[in-house]
Amino acid sequence: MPGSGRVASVTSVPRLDPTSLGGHLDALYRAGWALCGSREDAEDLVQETFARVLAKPRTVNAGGERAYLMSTLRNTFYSRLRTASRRPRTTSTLDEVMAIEPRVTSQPERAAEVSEIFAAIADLPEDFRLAIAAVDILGLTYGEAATALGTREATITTRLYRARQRIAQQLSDVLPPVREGSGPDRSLA
Amino acid sequence: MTDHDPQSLQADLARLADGSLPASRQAELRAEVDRSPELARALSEQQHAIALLRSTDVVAPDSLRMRVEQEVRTATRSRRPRFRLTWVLPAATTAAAAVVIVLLAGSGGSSGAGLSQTAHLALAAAVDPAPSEARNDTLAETAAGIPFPYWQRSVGWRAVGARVDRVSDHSVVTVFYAGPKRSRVGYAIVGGAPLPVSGGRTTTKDGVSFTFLHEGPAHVVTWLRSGHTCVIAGRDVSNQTLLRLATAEIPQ
Repeated sequence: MPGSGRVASVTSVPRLDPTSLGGHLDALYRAGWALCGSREDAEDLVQETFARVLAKPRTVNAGGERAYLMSTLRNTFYSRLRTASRRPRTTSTLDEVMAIEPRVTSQPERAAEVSEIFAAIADLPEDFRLAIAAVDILGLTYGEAATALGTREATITTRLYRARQRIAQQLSDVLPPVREGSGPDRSLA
Repeated sequence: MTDHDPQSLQADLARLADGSLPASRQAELRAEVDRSPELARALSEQQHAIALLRSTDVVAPDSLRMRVEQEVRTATRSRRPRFRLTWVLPAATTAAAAVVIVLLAGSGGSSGAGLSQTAHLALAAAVDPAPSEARNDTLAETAAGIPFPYWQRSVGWRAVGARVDRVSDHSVVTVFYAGPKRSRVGYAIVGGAPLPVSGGRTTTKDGVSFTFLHEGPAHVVTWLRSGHTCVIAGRDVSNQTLLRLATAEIPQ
């Protein structure tokens, strides 16, 4: 505006790129499993999350794609809970459906431990599960997690502390695997 | 433990354990931890939980990966410039008119174990009221993010009820529709990985494979929508009617 002394700044808001979302699938699936406590429900939750995100062009808020996906995962999770609670669920007495067994982990020998870890997360209160899923599973910063979950950073930190404490106490006898490259190289010489 | 308030101390321990505590506070807290067995145990628990959680290198199943890739392809396609529709739509209509129906070997077949159970649900009684119309020819009922079609305008079938079942770890949502001459079908969408299909007669339309089976006297058609098994079953409807309903779908 001439003579006003003010300069209008135009900043472009980044658009979410649909083709880059696949890179978050594994992490989002783990977060979904942590929230639902079941792999099958996690599959449906994650697919519905992607369907919602991809339904129209989106802009990415501060915190990036992964935080945006976490926020949508949480909203989808709540909306599925609301839908489920509106009516009684009929449990079928039919025999079990034969489904294709999905690949669980790249280390099959750890499948039982992994199931135990997700079962421990499933035992946590909902808010604790969300904090764990956002920070320890999806790898968001505390600030990103607070934005994605619509709460304060201090609240996230406290929930995370308590959630981890419960998991550690419940799984005190489960040892994490030694990761390759996690320690200094050793020489036999 | 120390003269810090408990919540801020817990926050600092959580951050120290995952490495996000500012360096300026780290040395001070580590010294406190060294002096207090209680703090040392609390920190050790945080570290143990983090190590366990970070060790869960679970990968998404291939079936989910394929479904998400399909969602991405669909989203990418639908965001192409609108002018292309001027020739895409007539082309699609022409293609639809020139449907090639491929009949594979076999004159029929009974549905396999998983499909049989889903077909039973589609033939069962409704438990819940009919979902209302949402928008874009869909009902306000979804399964695994997939909306059920609103058929009243397009083919004259109205939703009359619904039910939700859980078979093993699969959710099965079914919407029931009533058509002319008191005919009735159930439309079930199965959550999770697609169910295996064996036998039956297969028809391909617009690139989608529809398999016709029978469940006792009832006719059944099954196909995939966004990677999920869909089943329509009815006792007093023909395979042609089932195919007409299955292909009167809403756009994906």
